[in-house]
Amino acid sequence: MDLDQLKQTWNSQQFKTPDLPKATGHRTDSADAARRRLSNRFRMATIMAALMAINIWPLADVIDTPLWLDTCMCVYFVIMAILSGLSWRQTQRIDFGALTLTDAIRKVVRLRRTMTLRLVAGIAMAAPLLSVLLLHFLHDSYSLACGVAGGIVGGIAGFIICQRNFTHIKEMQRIASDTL
Amino acid sequence: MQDISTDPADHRELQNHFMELIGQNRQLICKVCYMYASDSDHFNDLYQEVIANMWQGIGSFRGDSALSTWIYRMAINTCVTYYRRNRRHSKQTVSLDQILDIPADDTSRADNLRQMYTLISTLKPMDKALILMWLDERSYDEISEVTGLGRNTVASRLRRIKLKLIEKGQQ
Repeated sequence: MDLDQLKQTWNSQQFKTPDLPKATGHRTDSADAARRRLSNRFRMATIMAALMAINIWPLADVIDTPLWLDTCMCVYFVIMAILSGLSWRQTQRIDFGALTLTDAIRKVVRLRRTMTLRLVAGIAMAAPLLSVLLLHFLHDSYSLACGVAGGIVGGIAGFIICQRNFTHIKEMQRIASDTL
Repeated sequence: MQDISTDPADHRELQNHFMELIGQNRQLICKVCYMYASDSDHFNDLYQEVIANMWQGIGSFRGDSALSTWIYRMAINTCVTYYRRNRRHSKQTVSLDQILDIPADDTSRADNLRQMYTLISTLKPMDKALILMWLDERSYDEISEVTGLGRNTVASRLRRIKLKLIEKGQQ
C-alpha cells in the first residue's frame, strides 16, 4: 500500500455534505446539550444543598430534633453542597473548542470520579441520618408515615436522576479507555 | 463558555459569519466525520453534532490558535466523545460510499478509499486522529496542539501507525 499515493487521493477527495440542522440554536440531543443538562442539575443541587444547610436551624425548632442531629444534618448538606459545586465547576470546564483530545477525555473521567464520590458520600451519610430521624419520629405515626413516604419518593427520584447523569459519563469513560 | 448573544442584530451577524465559516471548512469537517463514522446515518449524525458544538463554542474562540486547529479540535473531540442516541437502527446500514463524491467510472479511486477506510477503522480513536491529520498534511506541531500529545510522541506514534497500515495493506 503506497501511503503517499493514498495521501494524494485523500487530499483531492470531495465529500457530499449533509444538510445543516434546521435551527442552530437549540438541540436537545447533542453531546453538548447533555453536558449542559448535567451542569444545570449540579447547579440546582448545589443551591438546594446550600439552602438546606442554612435553613436546617429554623426547621429544627419546628420538628424539635436534638442539637447533635441538627448539626449532623447541617454538616451533611454542607458536604453535599461542596461536592455538587465541584461537579458543576468540572462540567462547566469541559469546553471542546479549547481542550485537546487528551485533556477533554481526562476531564470527563475526573468528572465521573467526582460524581461517584458524591453519590457514595451522599448515600453513606444520608442512610444513618434518615434512620435516626425516623427513630426520633417513632412516637408520632403521622410524622413517621410522611417521613417514610418522603424517603421512598425521594429515593426513587434520586435513583432516576443519578442513572441519567451516569449514562453519558459511562459512555465517555469507555471511550477514554480506548483512546488513552 | 461564553453564551451566544441574544441581541437579534448581533445574533444574525454571528450566524452569517458562522455559516460562512462552515461553508469554507465543510470538507475538513466531513473528512473527520468520515473517519469516525460506521455508516452513512452515523456520518450525518456526527456532522450535525460537530456543527452544533461549533455553534455553541464559537463565542469561546479567541484566535489564539489557527482556525483550522480549532475546527479539528471541535470535530475530533465531538466524534470521539459522541454519545450515540438510544434509538432503533434500521437492520440494513447505509454504506459510507454514498458520502464520497466519486465519478461512477472511477472504480480504482473508490477501491483505494474503501481499502483505506477498512484499514483505518481498526485503529484506536487517538490513532485515527493522528493519521487523519497526517493525511491532511498538517504539521506535527498542529497535530500535537490538537491531540495534546508531545511532538516526539506524535512522530513515533505516526511511524508505528504507518507501518501497521502498510503491513495490513499487504496482507
